[in-house]
Amino acid sequence: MREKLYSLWFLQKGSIRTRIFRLILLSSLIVVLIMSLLVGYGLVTMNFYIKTQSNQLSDASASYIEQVTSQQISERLTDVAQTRARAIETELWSITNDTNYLASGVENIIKNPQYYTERSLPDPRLQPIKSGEVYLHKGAKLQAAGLSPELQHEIRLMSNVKDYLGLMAQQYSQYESSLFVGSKYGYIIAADNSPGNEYINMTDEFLNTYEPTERGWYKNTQRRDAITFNDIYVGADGYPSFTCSAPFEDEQGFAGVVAVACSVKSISDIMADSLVGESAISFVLGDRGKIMLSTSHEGDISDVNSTDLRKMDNENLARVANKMLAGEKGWEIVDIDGYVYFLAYAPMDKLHWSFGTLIAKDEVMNPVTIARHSIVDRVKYFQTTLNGRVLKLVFVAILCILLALVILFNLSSWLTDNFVKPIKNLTSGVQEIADGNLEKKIFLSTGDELETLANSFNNMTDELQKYMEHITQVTMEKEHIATELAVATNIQESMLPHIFPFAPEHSEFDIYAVMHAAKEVGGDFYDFYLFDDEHLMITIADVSGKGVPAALFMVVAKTLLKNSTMAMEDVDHLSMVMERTNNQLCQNNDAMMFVTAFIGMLDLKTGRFSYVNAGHNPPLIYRKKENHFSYMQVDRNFVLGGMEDMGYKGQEMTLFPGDRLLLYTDGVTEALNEQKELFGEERLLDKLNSIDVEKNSTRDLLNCLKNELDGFVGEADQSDDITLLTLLYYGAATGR
Amino acid sequence: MEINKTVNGTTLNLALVGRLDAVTAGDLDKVLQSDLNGITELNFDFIGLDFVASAGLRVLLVAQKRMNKQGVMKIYHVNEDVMDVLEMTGFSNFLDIVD
Repeated sequence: MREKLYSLWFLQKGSIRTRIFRLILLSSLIVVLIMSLLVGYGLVTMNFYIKTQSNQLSDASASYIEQVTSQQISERLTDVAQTRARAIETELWSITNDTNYLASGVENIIKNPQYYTERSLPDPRLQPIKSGEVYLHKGAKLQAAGLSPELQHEIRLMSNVKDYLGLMAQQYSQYESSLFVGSKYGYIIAADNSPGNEYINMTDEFLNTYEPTERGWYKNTQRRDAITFNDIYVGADGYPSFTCSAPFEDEQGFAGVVAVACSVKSISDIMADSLVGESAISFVLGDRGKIMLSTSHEGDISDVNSTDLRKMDNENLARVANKMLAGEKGWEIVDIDGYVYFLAYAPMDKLHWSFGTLIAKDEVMNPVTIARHSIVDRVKYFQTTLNGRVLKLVFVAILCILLALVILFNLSSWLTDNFVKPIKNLTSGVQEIADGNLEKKIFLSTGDELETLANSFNNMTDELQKYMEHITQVTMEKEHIATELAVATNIQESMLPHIFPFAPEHSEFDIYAVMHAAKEVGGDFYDFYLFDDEHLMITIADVSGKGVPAALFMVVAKTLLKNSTMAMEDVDHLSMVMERTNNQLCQNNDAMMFVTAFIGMLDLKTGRFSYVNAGHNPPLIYRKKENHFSYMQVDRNFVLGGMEDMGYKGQEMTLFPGDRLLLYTDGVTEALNEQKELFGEERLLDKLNSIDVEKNSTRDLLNCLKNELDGFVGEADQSDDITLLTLLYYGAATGR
Repeated sequence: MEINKTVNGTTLNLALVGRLDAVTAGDLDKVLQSDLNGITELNFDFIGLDFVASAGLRVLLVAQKRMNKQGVMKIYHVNEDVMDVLEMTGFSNFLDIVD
């Protein structure tokens, strides 16, 4: 894990400059990346939001426009329907009034013949009839049957209706119109208006075959026995023609029908005016569910449709028709002939008719659709523009980021260089110091830890310089001391007998000794000298401690011992030598140094060996006849210099030719190997006995032993001075 | 070498563990020089002491000589090796070694 982490680029090994550079660059990159992500996210979110909002906005505004438009058109249509219904009703109501007036006029004549004289009217078959002129026309049956006198009288009385007809015809003179009275006897009295023509154009069919009592208006009125609006037909002037008819009675009951047929251009105009668009249709619904008038001439809502609208398959339309005839007003949306229409209607209360006007929703909504498309287009254009802007922004942002990266790279590099410069200075300065130039001073004024570090280095070099001077001085002193110690070593070595073979003129013995000091000078010493021609004195001693103090004490001890020995009056006074030396050493021995010593004197003639042991390690003796080393039995006297006035007990033994003595100091038995094991007395004995003593001279024996000891000690430091002395007694000189 | 020191009134108990050689003898010497004032009974416990070199003997000698003036000094639990050295050097003759 850790390795993986450190294998990352920014943590890889490198100079501080590289690392800081990486760090700054990486941090900056992360910041740039996060900013880019934020900006990107913002752009995307904003773009998405704006798109959603603009779509919703366009939908909402389009819907609102639709709604408002629907509302407006329906209101407008309803208004139109209401005003037009009223206008048409007014027109029609005046005709109805006229018809009723005419009918009451006719009845007045019939019921009151005594007030009227006979009158005659022109016959269209006999003379042209002027527009507006009242004429009498006999029907086909009457023409065929001829006139009875009673009928003639009747007709002539009835002709008094001319006064009514003439006046009323003048009211309709600007319309293509016809006012007439149809008698059950088969004649009509009529006045026709044909605006723009002087005479009425009578067709032959009318003149010859017209039978009023067979006509629809007559029959319908007779059947209903009430004022009736008959089917509309298109009059000669091309306008829809109304026929409003009403029955009149005589004493026998139904006597005929009066009618006002009027080509109602005004209604046509009203209807046409009511149209609010290309697809618009206006219609008048009669009280029997039949379309009386329509601006459309084909389809369900046309003047040719004779079906009761209330019974149409189109349920919605039928429902609306029922509402219309129920006298309601309002508006509906209906499907007619596969198109959706707004249908507004208003009642004509007096006639129990209704007026309806409708317009295709598509047409009404066309502007709305256009508006919607326009809005959607606008929004799309806006979105496209926005996309373009966003893309541009992204492009600019990428350019900026690239630019920023370049700047970042250079800035990071510059910053890093600036940051690392003092470190480099410091490094080179320290390098120079490390190369030994302690005079070098590093000057940094960064005001931070580096400056402190540099100052510390400067202090360190100062200290180092002082220390170096001190060391130099100490070293010089040490060298001085070493020199002195070397001299001391030399002196100490030269104080010990070191010329071998010793006393070669004496064939009675051979002696060899070595001293290996643990330091330059040691506290051990050995000594041997001829007390006189027949006595050899041997000494081995060990001063407590080692080094210079021990060496100094050793010199004193050796000197005192030798002096004391040499001052000895009798060779048997060795114990006195020890006592005297002890007392001398105790004087002024403030350091409480002491020395263990073994001294012995060999009578070269007899082999008698007298000795005193003052706290020293027991020497070893080699008996030739036993071919074996063993420890000597020694009395344990106290060390020299430890306490005054001690008594020392001497001992003696006899050496036979070939016997040997081995004296040693505790540096041998207490030598430590690397496992901190003592060499020990037992091992010393074993090693000596493993050597073929007879084949070795004294020197060789010691060398052998020394080798064994070195082998034991191995790499461990020599802990104490090592001194060895060996004596080989050959026997008296004469014996050889 | 470890020197475990306990003071009980005018009694100083020193338990030595390890080797009392030329190097460690100095440490013991310092302890004795600084702590021996007013002590009337000095007890050494040698139960952990493996070895005594001549420098160590010197310190013991110094201590014994000083205690001769101001009180008593006893050595306890001396092992065989150390006893050999003490006997060989004659120290056993005037040190108060308690078995």
